[in-house]
Amino acid sequence: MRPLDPTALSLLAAFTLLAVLFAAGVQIGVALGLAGMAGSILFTGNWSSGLNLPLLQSVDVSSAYALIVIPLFVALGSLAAAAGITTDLFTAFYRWIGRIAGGIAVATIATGAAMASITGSSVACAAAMCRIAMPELRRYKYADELSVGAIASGGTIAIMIPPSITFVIYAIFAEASIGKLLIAGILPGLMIATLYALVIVARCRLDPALGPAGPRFSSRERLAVLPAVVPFFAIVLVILLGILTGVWTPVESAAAGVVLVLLMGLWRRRLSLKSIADAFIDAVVTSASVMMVVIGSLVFSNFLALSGFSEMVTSGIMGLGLSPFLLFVMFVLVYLVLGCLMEVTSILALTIPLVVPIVTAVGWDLVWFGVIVVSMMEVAAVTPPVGLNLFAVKASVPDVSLPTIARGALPFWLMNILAVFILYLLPGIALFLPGLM
Amino acid sequence: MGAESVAAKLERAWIGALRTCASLSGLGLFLLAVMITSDVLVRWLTGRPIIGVFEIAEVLFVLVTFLAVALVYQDDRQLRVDALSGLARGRTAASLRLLDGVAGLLFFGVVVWTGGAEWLKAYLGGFLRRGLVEIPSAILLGFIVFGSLLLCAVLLAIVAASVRRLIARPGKGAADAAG
Repeated sequence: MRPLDPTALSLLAAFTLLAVLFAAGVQIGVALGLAGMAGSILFTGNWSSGLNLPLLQSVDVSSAYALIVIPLFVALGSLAAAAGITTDLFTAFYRWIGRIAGGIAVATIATGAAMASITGSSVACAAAMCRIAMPELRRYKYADELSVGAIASGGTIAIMIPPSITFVIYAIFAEASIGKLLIAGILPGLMIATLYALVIVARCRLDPALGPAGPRFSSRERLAVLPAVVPFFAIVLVILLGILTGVWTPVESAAAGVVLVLLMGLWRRRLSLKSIADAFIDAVVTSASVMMVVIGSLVFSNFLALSGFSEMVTSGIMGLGLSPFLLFVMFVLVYLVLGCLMEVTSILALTIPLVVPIVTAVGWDLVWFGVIVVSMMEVAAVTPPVGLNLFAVKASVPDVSLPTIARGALPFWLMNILAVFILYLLPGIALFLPGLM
Repeated sequence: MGAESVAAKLERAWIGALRTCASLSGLGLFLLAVMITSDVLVRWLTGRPIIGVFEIAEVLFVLVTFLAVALVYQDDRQLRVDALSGLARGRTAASLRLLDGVAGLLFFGVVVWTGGAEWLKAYLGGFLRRGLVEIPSAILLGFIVFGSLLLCAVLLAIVAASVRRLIARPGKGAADAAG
């Protein structure tokens, strides 16, 4: 029997090890890191170069100035939640649009979209919305299926509208501009929120029992909630306009956002020393967890580049002679399947280093493709059996079954797929704002 | 009973130490936000940046990341693919947890091993990171090695707990798993 050449042997060993460790539930970064190390050692036959990879990546990743944006974005979201901004936003949208049929569910989506502009965590957004919106939705006798579907899906907008950690992670793996990617998510995020709102209104028109109209508030009552949310929108505007106009970098915008939200929370006496400390500790632990994945996946990417596997995959896929549309459909299907098995960070860590060379070979824009990938990650977040938002909602509303939550999210899931194809046909939706930078 | 209470006290002290490290990491993040915002403000007002913010921010970021990693495992907040492993119960779950701990030990053990050697070289050689403000490389490497060491200690505890669960009598193992 002919022995395997070092490339084939190292690839076989690395992917087998990765599959075993993933299936066993080993931390994603550690699994990717060990597989990358083993592959590199087998490929080069040099122990020391393989063993040095984790330290090299640890130094590179944890001292990379651009990546400081990750803990700062997480802290921004944690502080905003601790300052009760979600409640203010929901109250405002509830009073302004709650009176139409399905209006309170639409207010939930609108709050999700607004919260998305200050937090990058879809799970945190969905969990917060459960606490705030669910009691109101039940008080006005909204069908549980519609309510939980709107909450789980509304939370996913957080990873599309900046600040989005998912975009930052994509940018790291794809070596694309973080600032452009963040700005690129604004219009698609708003489009997806609009599609969600439309599907709610349409369903409630067809079956009014799903979501009856909420109470009607006087103009005075509606205006009274604005002072609570105007400073929030001012902060969001300052952050986004700063990045868009190049006045500051994403890191600087995130730092300024943290300080502004902190000051706003203190000024309105919503934040205590304990809640601030808790928010920062939560942010560093979440961020450290993400950074471990980034370090491990860069060790693995290093091995893929070294072994020439990325080029092999690219030439293999390009050799199929698929049209760009078929290739696009293939990517959508791959991400749909992966979304059923893995959570967002692991999907990005595993696929982006392999997919980016293909995207470049086809001539697609990396920023546009980033928006497509993040849209698919929104789909993954509400895809059973591992869709994290479904579990976040289940944990907050234990009396609603997981299948009901998944069924409730299905119409929104379909809207997300529709949005992906709209973005394929009209790439300008994603590329217009980055084009201004 | 006395030995147990000593063990419990030690465990509490250990978890307290991990939380203190995470608090320091949180404080580091707060300082990062304030420092970078001050730099933006000063640049806007005077047209000049604050010298050293960039370099200090990079080192602070290492502290922020590595002083919190141990708590990720301690609080079981690591990101994992649990489509299959999530279904495991009892001894199978303990075996998978053992594998998770051993794999983590292997990876971060390598970081401690190679990082420790590099730290010693940087310390003895007095190496500096290039920049407007030169910061000793040993500080940055020290945070990485210290954080990884803490994490290895947490992983050792996880491995020990998993082994205890695996070798426990079936009745007790099941009770533990249920607990």
